[in-house]
Amino acid sequence: MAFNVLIVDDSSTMRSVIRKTIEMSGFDVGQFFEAGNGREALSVLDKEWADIILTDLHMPEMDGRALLKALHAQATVSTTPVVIVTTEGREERLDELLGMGARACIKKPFRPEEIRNILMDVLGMDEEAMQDKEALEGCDF
Amino acid sequence: MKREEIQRAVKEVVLHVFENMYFMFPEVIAEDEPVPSFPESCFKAGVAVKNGSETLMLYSSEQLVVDMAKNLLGADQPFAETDLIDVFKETANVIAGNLMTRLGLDSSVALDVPVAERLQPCSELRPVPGAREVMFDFEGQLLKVAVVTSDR
Repeated sequence: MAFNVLIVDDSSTMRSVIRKTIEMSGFDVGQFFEAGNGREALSVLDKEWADIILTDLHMPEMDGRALLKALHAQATVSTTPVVIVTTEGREERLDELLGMGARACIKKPFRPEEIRNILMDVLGMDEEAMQDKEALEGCDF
Repeated sequence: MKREEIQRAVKEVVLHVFENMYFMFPEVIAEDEPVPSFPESCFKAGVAVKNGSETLMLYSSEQLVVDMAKNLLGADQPFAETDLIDVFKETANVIAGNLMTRLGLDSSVALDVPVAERLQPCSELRPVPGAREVMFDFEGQLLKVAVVTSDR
């Protein structure tokens, strides 16, 4: 099954790095969508379906926290898993985000295997299935 | 917060971020050590504390930012000015966020969106004696990280 991924970050560099990391990790991605802030993300979600959203916290116009709230209020996307990719490492802040509905938090700077492990967990995939897929595609992560 | 405490935290965070994000291993330039010559062109970035007076400033040689972009995005492409500014801005963001965690700042303290720009001449890259700053050497390329207080 191919997953559609929405990456939300005001840094085009970080969007590119996250995208490459996911591609290298051997996930079966249908389409990547990108947005520079929460408002753009909501606009993308008006037209496209995403199976998972990875979002930064600090963004202009609409930040990651406001995006989480807005997603929670929309029936069509309220169950879409959201992973926060942030520099934030303070427990209270991370707990608050998880309490607001984020499924996981990835701390910048991250190693590729951290993104891989968290996405596998959130998307409900197991290591065996990923290894079978890598063997088939000759992709050595 | 004491100057030495901030400098120690800046050193730890910068070494951690560059190792993990760029696979780069800078050396800290001691305050009594001579600083390598300054480049002609460099970049600066700032991340302010929301509703506060503290700002984290980063100053870097242009070549170091180019090397960071290569390590992060791949060496096989030319980089536009906007790419380099974005890379440096994101670096400032990651360092500032990690520094807040390392310093154990209260969870009510939040950061503004970072800003970055090209800087010419590079006089701001010079070390300022007694300032809350640390200079790093990347095989001849320079990075200065400083915590400054402004009247806002």
